[in-house]
Amino acid sequence: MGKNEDSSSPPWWQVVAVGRNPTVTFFRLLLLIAIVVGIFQYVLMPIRVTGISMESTYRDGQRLYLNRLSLWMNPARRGDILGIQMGGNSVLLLKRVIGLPGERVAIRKGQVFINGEALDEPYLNQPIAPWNYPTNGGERLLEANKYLMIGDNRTMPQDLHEWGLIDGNKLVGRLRR
Amino acid sequence: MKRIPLFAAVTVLVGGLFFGYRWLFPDDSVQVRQTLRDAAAAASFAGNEGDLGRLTKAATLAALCTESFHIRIELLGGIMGKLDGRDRVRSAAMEAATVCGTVRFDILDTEVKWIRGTESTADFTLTMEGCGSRDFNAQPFQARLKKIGRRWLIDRIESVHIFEK
Repeated sequence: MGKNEDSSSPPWWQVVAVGRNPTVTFFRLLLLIAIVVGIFQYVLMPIRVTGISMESTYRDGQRLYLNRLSLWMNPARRGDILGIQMGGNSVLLLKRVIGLPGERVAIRKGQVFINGEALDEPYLNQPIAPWNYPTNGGERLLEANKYLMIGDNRTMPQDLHEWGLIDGNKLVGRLRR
Repeated sequence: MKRIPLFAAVTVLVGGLFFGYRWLFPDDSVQVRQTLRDAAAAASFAGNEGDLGRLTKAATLAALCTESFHIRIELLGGIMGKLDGRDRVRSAAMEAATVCGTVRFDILDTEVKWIRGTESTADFTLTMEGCGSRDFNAQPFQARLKKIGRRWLIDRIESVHIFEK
């Protein structure tokens, strides 16, 4: 009886390669691939930072993971670093949330004002350029679903930095709060 | 049980006919995407490419544009670039190949917004690497294409602002 069982069991190399039951192993592999693809497509999106607009918080070439579920569960808050769709999801911009919908925002000589009060930005640890926004000296009221988003590198002139107001539906995921 | 191979064969045959038909007679949105991809490939040059290769690619790029082709690019810092006409495209591509050496363009996330008769509009992200720069450059664009004969040709390309000010 024992001899019969031995002869029916698969060779050791097959057990190592595809398990005792190849069909079960195949479906397990399919499930694993689906889970991994699902996680990296819809939950944690791997990204590589290029450029200097988020220095010194993130460096050029740094690899990070964008949490896509996080924005579904919690709306964007001030200070969040979010991924913004350029066209689709292949290339994203990374920026920090500065102004939220319904707020009045202004920038005077580089200092951000929210509803008339100066915003403390401890993440800016380099000298900032004297940005001004709006250029007429007033304030800009952010409409519903509009966010003011700026990178952390404000050493450069404002014209050379990609920043401004963006629709909430262009936000893809959160890096950290 | 005998029906299973027959069913599989019919499924493969129907699938093959479907994809074969789509390949032989692609619909307009597929052709629009292909035109944009072909243009990006024709605008990309390898550093070791010979003059004949460059000339062929520049001619291919120009052939993908209409006579009245117009491109308008607005970059950071208020830098503006524009180009008019198919002939100018050909000469600009040759100049770029000479100046840049190696340059690679890719078109990502193409979305065909609408197709009405012989006109269509598509949004896409253009990426550029090379040309003496270590940086990876990306910019969203909108293209308008016209169907001339059986081919979709690029009539107008304009850069799109990501942020509102």
